[in-house]
Amino acid sequence: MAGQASPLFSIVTPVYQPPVDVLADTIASVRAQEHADWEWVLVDDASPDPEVRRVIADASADDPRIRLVARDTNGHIVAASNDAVAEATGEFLVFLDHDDLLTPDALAEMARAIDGEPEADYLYSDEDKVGEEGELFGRFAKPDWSPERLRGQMYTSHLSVMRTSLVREVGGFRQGYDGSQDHDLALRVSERARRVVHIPRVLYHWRAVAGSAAADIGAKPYADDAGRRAVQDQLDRLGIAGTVESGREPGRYVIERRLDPSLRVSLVIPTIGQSATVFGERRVMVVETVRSALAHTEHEDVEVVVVHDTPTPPEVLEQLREIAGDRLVLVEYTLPFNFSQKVNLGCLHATGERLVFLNDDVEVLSPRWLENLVGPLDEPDVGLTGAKLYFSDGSIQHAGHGYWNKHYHHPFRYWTRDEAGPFGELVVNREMTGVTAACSAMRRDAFLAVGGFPEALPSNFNDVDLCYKVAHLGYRTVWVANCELFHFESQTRDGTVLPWERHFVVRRWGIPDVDRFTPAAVATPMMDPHRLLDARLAESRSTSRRNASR
Amino acid sequence: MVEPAGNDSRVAQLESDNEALRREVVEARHSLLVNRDHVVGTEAEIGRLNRDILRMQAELVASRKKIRALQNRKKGLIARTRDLETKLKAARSRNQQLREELDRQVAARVPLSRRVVRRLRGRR
Repeated sequence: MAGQASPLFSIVTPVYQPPVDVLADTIASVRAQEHADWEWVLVDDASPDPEVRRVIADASADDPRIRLVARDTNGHIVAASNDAVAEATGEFLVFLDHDDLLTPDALAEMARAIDGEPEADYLYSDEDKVGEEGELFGRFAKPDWSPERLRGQMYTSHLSVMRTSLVREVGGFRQGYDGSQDHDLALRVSERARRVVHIPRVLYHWRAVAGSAAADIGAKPYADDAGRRAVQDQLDRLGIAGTVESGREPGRYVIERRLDPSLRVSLVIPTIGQSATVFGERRVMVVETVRSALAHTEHEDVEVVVVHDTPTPPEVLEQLREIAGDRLVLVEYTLPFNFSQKVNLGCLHATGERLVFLNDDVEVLSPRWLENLVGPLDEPDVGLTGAKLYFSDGSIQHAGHGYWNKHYHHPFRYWTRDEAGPFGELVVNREMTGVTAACSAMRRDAFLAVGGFPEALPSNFNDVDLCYKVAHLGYRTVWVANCELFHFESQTRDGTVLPWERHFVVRRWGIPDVDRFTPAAVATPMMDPHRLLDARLAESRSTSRRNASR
Repeated sequence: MVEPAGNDSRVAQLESDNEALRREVVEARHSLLVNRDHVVGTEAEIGRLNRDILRMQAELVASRKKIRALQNRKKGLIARTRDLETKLKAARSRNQQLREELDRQVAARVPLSRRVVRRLRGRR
């Protein structure tokens, strides 16, 4: 019920030897809050400079809502943060670092959100960075609540607000996770939170000074190991079979999934058995698809269901028999082309509990692709997973769908394989509004519940409609960064889109407006490869200028 | 032991029946799947239409409010126009009176040459 009395916020800040002028700015930003119901517990973790305590004591003398807790010994961030949590009397905890800034409306916005969502136990906002000259940059437009992404990176970060009782229920910050103690807490709190709410406004300016994590993601190498352990702990707590590894850059984590060996996985591949030239060689596309798919998985119980149009050359089918042996199921398709119907029929002939939709013009690149693609479906609320696809030149063809501004997009198209994305989007698994059917997977029960692919859409947008249906039934769609394939789309596909096809999707789901998981601010501008290169060069020049001016 | 010839044909018949039944089952499951897609799609369309209706209702309420505000403003403007018209009429009437008065005064005024002659003759 909306309209409750505004909650008391307890801002908690562990303090250790910040520059005094910077601390004064932080204090000023709290005292400038439009929302008046707050208290602020600052725990000084035995800063060597007595000036730090004097500044806090002066602020406390001016404003009784500010309280200084002075530790006798330096206990590091976990101990100091827990002391602050213990002192808090408010309904919600607001986590503020000793050198960062709140926007004046930060607590007011949080109070408004809580008023609108009384079951909110965890709230987070967008954030940006503040440089040494006070300049603001690097806005992180965050996705709505994305539990899979939180495993890949501490994306909720600042400003985080948590219900005090829940933080105490999970035992507060844990010793041994210094540097990623906030990530560990976010994982544990979110497991029990009734609602996690995203406020798509910048309410926090993260100070980027030399040596801080805001300026350099690798500034605290010990934090990476702590974060990896925190994510592994969550998998273990939730019974998710997988191993967490450090990603290509610090603070990003990769989950290697394991599959139950008794689980049958069915690959469903529609084909007409055509050949094309790839990397200078003529190849039968579907044969290489099946060969690479089987070669890059350790899972044994894999069924290969090939739905082939009648004109498919018999020698292609023979080659498939040689590769897949008794795992091959051939389904002849005699009707005019209808991708949706071909896949649906393939799925109905499949016997696996997990269904993988695979175009016949892909080539698997990454080891254990199948385990990583199918593994997330063990979580009952995940209904669909998708892969990372590349053009033959190694640039990105697909890193999930984004539906916004009246169109269906492929965000990050033409970025390169070694790029992480603006905020790690390309290297961590994450929830998405949609994924392409060129390589995706579903649980059988979810596939049947949504009614499979829409056969009214034989060629285009059938995957968009499927993704909408998956979300409509309350399932999450997870894009898997460590499931990588080439997709030689232009070799096999006529890209013509007819207006009625788009209208079919719009009639069911409305006109796409704002994407919940890939804000347009992050993914745009959508560019062709040449303009993308120009933009990168311009960006690099501007970064160099900023660094030079420091 | 040699199988009777009739058994082979019976097995073949059973296999053929089995295959036909299997095809029927797949067809039935396919129909069910297509039907399910239609149901989910229809649900979605109903949801979308309901959202459109809600948006239109909100738009309608806002437009009605705007119409009421505009009607009130129109009433106020009409009243003000009437008031101004009354004032204008009074002003015109007063203007007319003043003009007539002025004309009378002008008409009654002795020309300068005659006033000079009178002064020269020692008469006022």
